Amino acid sequence: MSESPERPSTMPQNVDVVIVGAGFSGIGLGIRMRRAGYKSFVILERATDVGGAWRDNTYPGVACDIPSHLYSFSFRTNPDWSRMYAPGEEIWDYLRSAAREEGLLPHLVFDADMLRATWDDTESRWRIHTTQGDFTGNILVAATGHLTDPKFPPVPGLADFPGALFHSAGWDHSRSLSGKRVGVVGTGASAIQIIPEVAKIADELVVFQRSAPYVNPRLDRPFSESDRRLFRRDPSAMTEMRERLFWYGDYTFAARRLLPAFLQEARDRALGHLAAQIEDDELRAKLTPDYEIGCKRILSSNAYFPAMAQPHVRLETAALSSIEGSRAISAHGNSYEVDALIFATGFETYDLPSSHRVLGRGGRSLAEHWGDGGMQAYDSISVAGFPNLFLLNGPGTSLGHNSLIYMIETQIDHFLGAFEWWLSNGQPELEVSTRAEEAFGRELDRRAAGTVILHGGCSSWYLDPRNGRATLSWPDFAHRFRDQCEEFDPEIYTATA
Amino acid sequence: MTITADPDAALLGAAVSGTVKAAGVDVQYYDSLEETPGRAPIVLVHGTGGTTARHFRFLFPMLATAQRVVAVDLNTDTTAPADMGPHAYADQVASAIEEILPDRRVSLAGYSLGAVVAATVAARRADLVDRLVLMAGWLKTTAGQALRNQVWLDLHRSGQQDTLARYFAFCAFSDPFLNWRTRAELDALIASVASDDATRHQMEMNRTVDLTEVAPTIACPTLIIAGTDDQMTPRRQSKALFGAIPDARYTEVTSGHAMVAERPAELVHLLTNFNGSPDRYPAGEIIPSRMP
Repeated sequence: MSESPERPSTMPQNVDVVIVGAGFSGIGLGIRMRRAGYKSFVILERATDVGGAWRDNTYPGVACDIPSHLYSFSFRTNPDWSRMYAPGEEIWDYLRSAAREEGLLPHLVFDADMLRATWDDTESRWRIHTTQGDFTGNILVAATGHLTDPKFPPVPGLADFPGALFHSAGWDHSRSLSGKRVGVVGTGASAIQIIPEVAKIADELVVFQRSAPYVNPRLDRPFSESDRRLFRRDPSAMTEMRERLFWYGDYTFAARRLLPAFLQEARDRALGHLAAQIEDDELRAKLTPDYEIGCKRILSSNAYFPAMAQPHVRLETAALSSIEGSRAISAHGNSYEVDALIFATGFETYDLPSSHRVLGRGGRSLAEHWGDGGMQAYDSISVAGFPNLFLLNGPGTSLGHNSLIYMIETQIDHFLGAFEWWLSNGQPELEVSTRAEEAFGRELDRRAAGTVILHGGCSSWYLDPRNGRATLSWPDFAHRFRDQCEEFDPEIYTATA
Repeated sequence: MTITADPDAALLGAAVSGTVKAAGVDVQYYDSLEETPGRAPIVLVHGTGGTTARHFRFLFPMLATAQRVVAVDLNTDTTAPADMGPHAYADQVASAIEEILPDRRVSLAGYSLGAVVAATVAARRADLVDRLVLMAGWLKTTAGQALRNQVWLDLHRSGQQDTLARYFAFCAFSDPFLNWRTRAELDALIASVASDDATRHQMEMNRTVDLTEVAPTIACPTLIIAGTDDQMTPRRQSKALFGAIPDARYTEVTSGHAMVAERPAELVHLLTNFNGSPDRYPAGEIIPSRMP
C-alpha cells in the first residue's frame, strides 16, 4: 500500500489467531476483531497488498457482477460508490481504505505465502511456515478464498506461443493490444467484461466459446452527486437499496429450484436481451445457450452482445484445442493467426491449492482428508480432524444468485461466536466430529439435487468433476445460510480442555 | 376429499391437489406433503382477488423446501350478503384443515383478506391453530380504506376495466417496486389484476371488516407482518392487530401491500423461522428489520 507506514519490526510471531489471506474475508474478519477489541492476531498475505480478487484482477472493464451497495460490508457501508456496479479498482480502494482506517496495518504481513500450516498436537496450536518466517497461532483461519488461483486449460503448444499470453487475473499491462489480432479464450464472467474493451482497440478479435452464457441486461447507472449526498445524509437510503438488492437476489433462487414459472421468467429476461441486441439469426443462434438457465453463472452486460456483432469480432463456437506457433486452433479445426491470447478461463475451484498446505491431526492435509469425495465442512466452516481451523469462503459458500459478502459476514459471525466462547471457556480445542461434517455435506447434496446446478445440463465451476458434487456451492437461499450457519453451537464442537 | 390434476398444481410444485367438501362447498386445495421435523404444516390463505396460484406461486413451493405447506382457494358465494363478513371463509378454512390435516395443529398464515380470515379461524378454533401469521392484515376498516374501496367499486360498476387495473396496481405495489419494472413488466402486472365477480364480492366484504372483538381472544403465538409502503392496509392497521392480539410480535418488510410479490423471499424467511421457533421473539416485541 502506498500509504502504509513502515511494517513494525517486531511482528508478533505467536498470536491467538492467524488469518491467512487479506481479501474480503480476511479484512472483514480483521475489522470485526479490532472493533471487538481483540489485538492478538496477524493477517498473512502472499501478495504485497490487501484486496484479494480486486487486487489481482486489473483487466480492462473489470467490475463486480453484484451491485456495490450489496457487495460491500454491512458494517462499513459506502455512500460514495460511483455507480451501481462500481469498477474493480474502486472496490479494491474500498478494501485498502477499510484496512487502513480500521487499524489493520499493524496486523498485516505481506509477501507471506503460507507454504505449510501444521497442527501441533502437543502444544495444541497451529504452526504456519511462510516466506516471511514462521508464525504460531492457537486458531487458524483460512481466508484463502476460492477464485484466487488462475487455471489454464491444457492446450498443446501454449508454452511456445510467441506472442503475448496471459490470464485475465494476471493482466500484462505492458503488452498493448492496440491494432493487434487478439484471441480471448472463454465466455464467462471475466471474458464478457474483457471482450467489449478489447474489441475497441484490437484490429481483429476471435472469441473461443465452449458454451454460450446467459446474459441479462445490466441495470447499471452512475450515482449522481445528489444520490451520494442523500446516501451520506440519510444512510437508511443505502440500507433500503441494499435490502432491495438482497431480497431480489433471493427471489431469483426460485428459478434455481427449477420452478417452471420462475425459470421461464429468467429465460425470457436473458433471451429477450439477446434478441433485442442481436439481429442476425445465425449469430444469435451461436450466442444462445444449450443448457438450462442458472446451471452456470448468469452474467449481466449491456456491452457484450453489441461487441460480438462487430465486423472485426469472430465467434468460434468451440474450445481452443491447440496452438501451433502463432496460430490458435479450435476443436472444430478452425485456425486463427493471433498476436495475443488472453485466457479468461477461470480458477481452481474444486481442488483448492491451499488445501494441500494445511495439515491437521496426524499430518493429514485437507486435500487428503477430503480425497476424491470432495470438499465439505460443517456449517461450511469446520472440518473433522482439523481442530481450531476455520475456513472462510471455502466449500459450501458460493452463490449464483446473491452476494458473497453476505456469506462471508455470516461466517465471520460464526467464527467470532466460536472465538468468544473459546476465550471464556479455557481455550479448548474446537473440533467437529466426522459425523457432523458428513451429515452437513450430505444435507447440502440433498438440497443441491433439487437445483439447476445439478439438473441444468452443463458442467460448471460449482461442480467437482471427480464426484459430481456441487462442493463449492451453497444450494439454497442466501438468507437460509445465515439462519442455519451463523450461530456457533459449542455442543457440536468437541471441547477437550 | 377428491384428488384431481390441476394446472396450478404443477405451477406450485404441489405434490397433491384436489377438492375437499368444506362448510358445504367444494374448496380447491394444494398440498406439498413432505414434512420437516420440528415445523408444523403451514396453511396459506390468499387475499382479495387471489387464488393460491395468484398470491402464493413463490411462497407455496419455496416454503415447501422447509416444511409441509397446504393452501386453499377460497370459494366465494357471490349471491350471499357481503356484510356477513369473513365467517363463511373461516368455516371453509377450518373444515379444510380438519379434512386435509386431521388431528393436527397448524401454522395458519393469511395474506390481506386471508389474514382477516385466518385471524377469525384462530379465534374460533384454537384447537386447530397453534401459530398464526398475519401478512398485510387489518383490524377494522377505516374511512380511508373505505374511500379507496369505493373508488374501486365505482370503476368496476362503470366498466372502466383499464383504469380499474391501473388504479389497483397503483394501490397494491410500492412506488420503488413499480419504478424498478420495465415497461413490459409493468404492463404484465397491470394485465394480471383481477376484477371478476368474486373479487367484487370480496371488495364489498372488505368495507365492513371488524375484528375488534375477535382479535383479543386469539390465544396462539402470532406474527404480524406489515408493509412499510402499504397503501391498502396501511401499517397502522398491522400495529392495531399488534395491540389487539395478546401473544403477538410485529415486524415490517419494505414493501407495498403486494408483499407476496415484492418481498416473497423475505416472507419465506420470516414464516419459516417463526414456524420453527415461534417464541424466539417474546410477545410484544417489535422485531427489528434485518440488514443483509
